[in-house]
Amino acid sequence: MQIEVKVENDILVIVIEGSIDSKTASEVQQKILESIQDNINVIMDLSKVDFVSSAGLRVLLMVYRAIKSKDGKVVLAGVSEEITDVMSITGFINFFEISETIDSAHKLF
Amino acid sequence: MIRQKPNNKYSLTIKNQLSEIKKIVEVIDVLSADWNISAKMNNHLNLVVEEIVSNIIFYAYSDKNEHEIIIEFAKQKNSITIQITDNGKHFDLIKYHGNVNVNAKVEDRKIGGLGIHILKKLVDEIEYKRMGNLNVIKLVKCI
Repeated sequence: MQIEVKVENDILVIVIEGSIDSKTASEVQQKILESIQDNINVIMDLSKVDFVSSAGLRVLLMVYRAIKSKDGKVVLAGVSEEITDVMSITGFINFFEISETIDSAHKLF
Repeated sequence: MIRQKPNNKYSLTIKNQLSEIKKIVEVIDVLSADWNISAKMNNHLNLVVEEIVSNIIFYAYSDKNEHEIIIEFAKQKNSITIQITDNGKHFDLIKYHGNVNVNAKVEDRKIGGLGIHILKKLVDEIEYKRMGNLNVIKLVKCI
């Protein structure tokens, strides 16, 4: 699992690669929350994420709450069919703005 | 250990450590190729096994000793059966109701119970037995 963080047009872009599961979730959450700091607009690029379990959904929820508490906005980009599937059956799909690509995600800010 | 048995069966035994879960992913990849399982079904199998096994690793043992968890897969004509056996404390996941409300607002969503909710949504049958000191969970997923 790898996380790359960059700032594009004043938006924090977090690129996650690998699985967000029971083994990696706590590390992913810690790294993301550390990287958010004063940023209030975040794109999470999940196009290289191949698996998300309930532990991964909890990470997404924690990030969402951290950003929303600062009146910010989170957009998920590159969400695979498999991740959409698990977000749908848990209702998490309703919480997030989802964009097909990073470019289209930028247009939502 | 991966062991392919005759008659469309795979089984493996892992230790009660999160680092062992990758072995299950490998076996599911092997059997998915062998049984011509779709990417979506592969993901569902990984999800249900990950949710159960991580629950066992996190909550089933009150000691810090090494324990074995046995995961068995069998393919029938239109379904896959997964059986997971552990010697942790008695936990009947069928009777567990995590109060997951998928329609709750994001502010009100509870963190717990998600894994078992996902599991119950994704499988077609769940059976639980306490056999001596063993929890035996049997799942059936139609394909």
